[in-house]
Amino acid sequence: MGQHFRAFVGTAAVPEAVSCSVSITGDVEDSSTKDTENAWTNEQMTSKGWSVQVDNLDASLPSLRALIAQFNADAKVSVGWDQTAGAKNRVAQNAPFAKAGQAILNDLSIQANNRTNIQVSAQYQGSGPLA
Amino acid sequence: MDKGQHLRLIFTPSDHNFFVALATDLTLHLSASTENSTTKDSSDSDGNWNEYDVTQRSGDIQFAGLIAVGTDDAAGESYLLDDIDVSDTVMSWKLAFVSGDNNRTIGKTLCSGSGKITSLTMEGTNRQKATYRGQMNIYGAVAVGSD
Repeated sequence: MGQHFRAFVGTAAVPEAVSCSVSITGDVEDSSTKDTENAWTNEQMTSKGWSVQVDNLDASLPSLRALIAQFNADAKVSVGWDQTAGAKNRVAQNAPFAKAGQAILNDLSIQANNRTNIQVSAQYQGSGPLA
Repeated sequence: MDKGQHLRLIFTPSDHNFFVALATDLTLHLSASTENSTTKDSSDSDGNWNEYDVTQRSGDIQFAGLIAVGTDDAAGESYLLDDIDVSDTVMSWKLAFVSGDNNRTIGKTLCSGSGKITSLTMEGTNRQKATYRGQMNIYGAVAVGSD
């Protein structure tokens, strides 16, 4: 279930999260030449990238301030994902698919509409390897 | 959960607080442009992962509210639609948590900065409230509140 797949920033699961998505993409280059004896491309991967998007309702003043400070900072942060269980579904289970790496908070949106929950959306662009 | 009406956009010319009156929606959006900084010196053994650095930060604030004529602003604490215009003028602002009657008791500041209002749209649909929407592009840095 989705509540057991969570994004982590630093060592903690993003609190009050409602959704997260992880994207890993490979850039490819066609290396087919005149020597290729058919019409098919021969794509080879030249580089890889990843990003994590997480939406949450954690609109406490310290959390929001910390996010804006993180956006302003040049420092990268550890971002990852894992299967979770236990208290508040926040305990990492070290699942086989769990990975983490350094990332840049490159998009932050704080939406505060009348009579609805304040919604926070953060996107992290991975920089360097996942492990 | 904190509700949206408890976080308000306040214009702060000359350190005076002007609420956006009859406000309904508010979104702060911050975006960082990044550039691929992978070079020949980057390790091949790490799986050819791209490395990025931030090259530019920008942001905007989108706000919306109701259009009302003759709204009493005797206290002189509000920005109504006629106070808001698309202009090259830099305006100072802050986003602050609020409480109390009409959600106009200012609490802690989330963040503050300057900006220019770059778009304003108004809508008047039959039998519905007339509304407006504005966007202010952030000019310079956003400071995190420290009060």
